[in-house]
Amino acid sequence: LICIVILHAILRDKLPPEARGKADIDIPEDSTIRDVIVKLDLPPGCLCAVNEQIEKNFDTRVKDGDVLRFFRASSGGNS
Amino acid sequence: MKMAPCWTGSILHVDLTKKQVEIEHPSPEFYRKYGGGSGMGMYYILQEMPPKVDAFSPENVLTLFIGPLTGLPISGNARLSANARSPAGGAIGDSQVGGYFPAYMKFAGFDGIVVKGRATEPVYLYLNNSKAELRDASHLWGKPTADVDEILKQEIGDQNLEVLQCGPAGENLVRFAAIMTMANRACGRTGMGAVMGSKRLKAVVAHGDYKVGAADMATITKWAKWAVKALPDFVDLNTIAVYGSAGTIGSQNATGTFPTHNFSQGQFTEFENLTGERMTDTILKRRDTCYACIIRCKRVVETEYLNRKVLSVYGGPEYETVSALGSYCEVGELNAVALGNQLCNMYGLDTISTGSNIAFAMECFENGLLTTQDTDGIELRFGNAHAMLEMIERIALRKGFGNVLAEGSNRAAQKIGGNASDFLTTVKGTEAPAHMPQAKKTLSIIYAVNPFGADHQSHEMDPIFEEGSTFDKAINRLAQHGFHQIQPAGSLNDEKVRFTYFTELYYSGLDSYNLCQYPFGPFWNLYAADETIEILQAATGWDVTIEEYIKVGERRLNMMRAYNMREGFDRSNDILPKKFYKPLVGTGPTAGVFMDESQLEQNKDYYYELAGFDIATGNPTSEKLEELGLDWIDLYSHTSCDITRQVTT
Repeated sequence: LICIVILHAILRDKLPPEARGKADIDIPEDSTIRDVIVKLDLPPGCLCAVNEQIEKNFDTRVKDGDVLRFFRASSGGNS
Repeated sequence: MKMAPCWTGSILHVDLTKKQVEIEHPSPEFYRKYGGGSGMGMYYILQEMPPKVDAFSPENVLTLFIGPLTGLPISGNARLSANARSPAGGAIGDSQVGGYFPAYMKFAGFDGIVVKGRATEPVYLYLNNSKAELRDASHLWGKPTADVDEILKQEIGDQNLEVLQCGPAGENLVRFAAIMTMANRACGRTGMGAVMGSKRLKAVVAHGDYKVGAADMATITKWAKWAVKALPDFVDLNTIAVYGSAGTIGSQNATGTFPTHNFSQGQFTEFENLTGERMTDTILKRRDTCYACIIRCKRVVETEYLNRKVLSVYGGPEYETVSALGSYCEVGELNAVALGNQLCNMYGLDTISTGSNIAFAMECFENGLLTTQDTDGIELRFGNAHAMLEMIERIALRKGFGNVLAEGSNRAAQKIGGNASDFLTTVKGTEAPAHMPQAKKTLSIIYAVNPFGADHQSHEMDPIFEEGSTFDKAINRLAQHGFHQIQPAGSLNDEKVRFTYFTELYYSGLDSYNLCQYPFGPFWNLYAADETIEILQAATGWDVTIEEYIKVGERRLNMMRAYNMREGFDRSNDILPKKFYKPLVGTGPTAGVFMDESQLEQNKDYYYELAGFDIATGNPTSEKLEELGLDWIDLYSHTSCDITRQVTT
C-alpha cells in the first residue's frame, strides 16, 4: 500500500533533500505506524498524526492513502 | 574566598540625573550568592529603588547584568538580563537577550550596570577598558536601530563594538518596547526598552580588551568541543539549530497548540506557509549565532512584501514572532511576517506583545467594539496582513489608534470598553507568548504565578514529562531530579505541580547565571545539571553544587515576589485572563479544551506550599527569606497598592 509521510523539522533529514520532508512510501499490507517509524529510522519520542488526527497507538494499521505526519513535541522557544 | 577569574569584579552605577558614573567592586561572596543576571539585578532593584515609583519615574532602577560564563568560549554564554519595574503591568520586569553585546560588555570590563535617574537630553553610555562615560545622543534620537548601530560604529571608529539600545518605540514610551542588540536581538518582554527610553538613555556601547578567565579553561574547552560532535544527537535542539525556533510550528499545529485567532483556537489552516522549514526553503539567507555559540539558531532572511524590502540586518523571525504576527492575527504570508519582524526590530518593539495587541484589537473589531472610525480607517480584521503591518508602525510612533495599543492591551481594553476584556491574554499586564496553557497544563500555573506575567521561559513545559512525547535521555535526567513516574498526556496533578516548581527554580537559575536555555537546561538540552555544574565550577573555581545552583534560582524568585509584594501584588494577581477558561474553538485535538479555574486555585495552593510562600497571600514569608539569606528585605514596610491592581484584572 502507498501512504504519504510528512516529516517535520529535523526529521526531514530522513528523506532525500529534494523531497522537502514529504514523500509517498510503499509499505507492505498490514503495516503499522511503528513499522513506518522503523522504515524511516525515526528517533524515539516522535509523535504521529494520521489524516491530521493525533494517533498515540503506534500499533494502528496504516491504510492505503493515509497521510502520516511525524513530528517532535516542542518545549519552548526564544522570542 | 577568591574572586572568580570569569568575573571582572566591577559593577557600574550610573546616575543619569547627576550625570555620574561610579564603579563598585563587590565581594566574591556577593557574586556567589546571587549568581549573576537577574539574580544580581534584583538585589540592586530591592536595595536602590524606593517603593511605589512609577515605571517611567527617574527613580525606577534599570539593571543590566551578564553571567559568569559570559565571554568564555562555550555555547550559551552570551546572555544579558534586564530588570526594572515594568511599565506593562507594574510588576517586576524581566527579559533576556543574546547576541554579542553581553560578551563585549565583559570585554569592556563590567559585569553589570545599575541605571537610575533621567538625563535632561538623550545620552549614550560608552564603555571601554573599565572606563565609562556618558555622551550626547541627540543625533541618534528617533533613528531606526540599524542606523544607530552603524552611526555609532562610524563615529567611534571601530566596527568591532557592540550596541545595546532602545529604539524609537522605547523613546515613545510604548509600554512593551524592547531593548535591542545588533538591531535583530530583543530583550523583548515586559517593556524594558520603554524604561530605557524614559531615562533618555539611548544606547550602551561596549568594546575592550579584558580577557575573560576561567579557573580551569581545559574543562571549558572540553565541553565546548564535545558539543560540536554531540549536537546532532540532541534531536530537539538540532531542529532549532537547523530550522530555527519556527521549526517547531509543525508540531505545535498538529498538537493543537499553535495559538490562532487571538488564542481562540490551536490550529491555523495556513500553518505550512509559516514553518521554519518553509523559511529555510524560501527566504533564509543564512543562519546566525551569538558569541561563541555553535548552535546558530538565529535566522537571517531577505525578501520583500508590498514593495518593501526585508533586509538581512534585521535578522529573521523566531517562532514567537511568527505566531504573534502570523497565527495570532491569522496572517498566513511568511513575507508579511518577515516584514513585520523587521518593523518591530527597527522600532524596538516586543514582537509578542505587538502581535498580541493587534490580534486583541482585531477581535474587538470583529465583535463590533471598534469600527474604522476608531482605527484610522483600517479594516482591522483577522487575516489582513496590510492592517497588521500598518498597526506596527502606528504603535511604534503612537500615531492614531496605535497610541491606544501602545499602552498595552490591558489599558486599551479599559479605553475600548464593553466586553473588550474578554479578549485579553494578559497576566500582570504582559500578553501571553505562543504556548497554550489550555493544552500544556503546567503553563497555567506558571503563567499565573510568574512574577513578571505570562512567560514561556520560566519552567519546562509538559511534553518532556508526559507519556508518548518524552524519551530515554530525558527520562534518565528526570529521574536524577526525583521524577520517576512519567505522567499521562494532558494531565495536571500534584506531581505536575512539583515538576513545575522544580523546573521553575532550575530556569530561574539559568536566568541568574545567565545561561541560554537552548544549550543549557534540565532535560533535552546539551548541558544538563551535571555538565552545567562542572562548567560553572571550571569557570569560577568554586565548588558549586546543584543544590547551590537551585538555591540561587530560588533566591531570584523570592526577590521578585518580594518586590511584587512591596508594590501591592499578591495571590489575587496570580490569575489567568478569562479567555483561557473558555473552550477553544476550531479544529484539532484541543478543540473544546479549556482551563478549569477551581483546579488552578487548588494547584496554586500546592505550588505556594512547595515554594514556602504564604498560601493565603502567595507572598514570601520572613522565614523563607531568612533561610535564603534575604532577611535584609523588609516585607512589611510598604504594602499598599493603587494602579497596579487596575491593570492586572
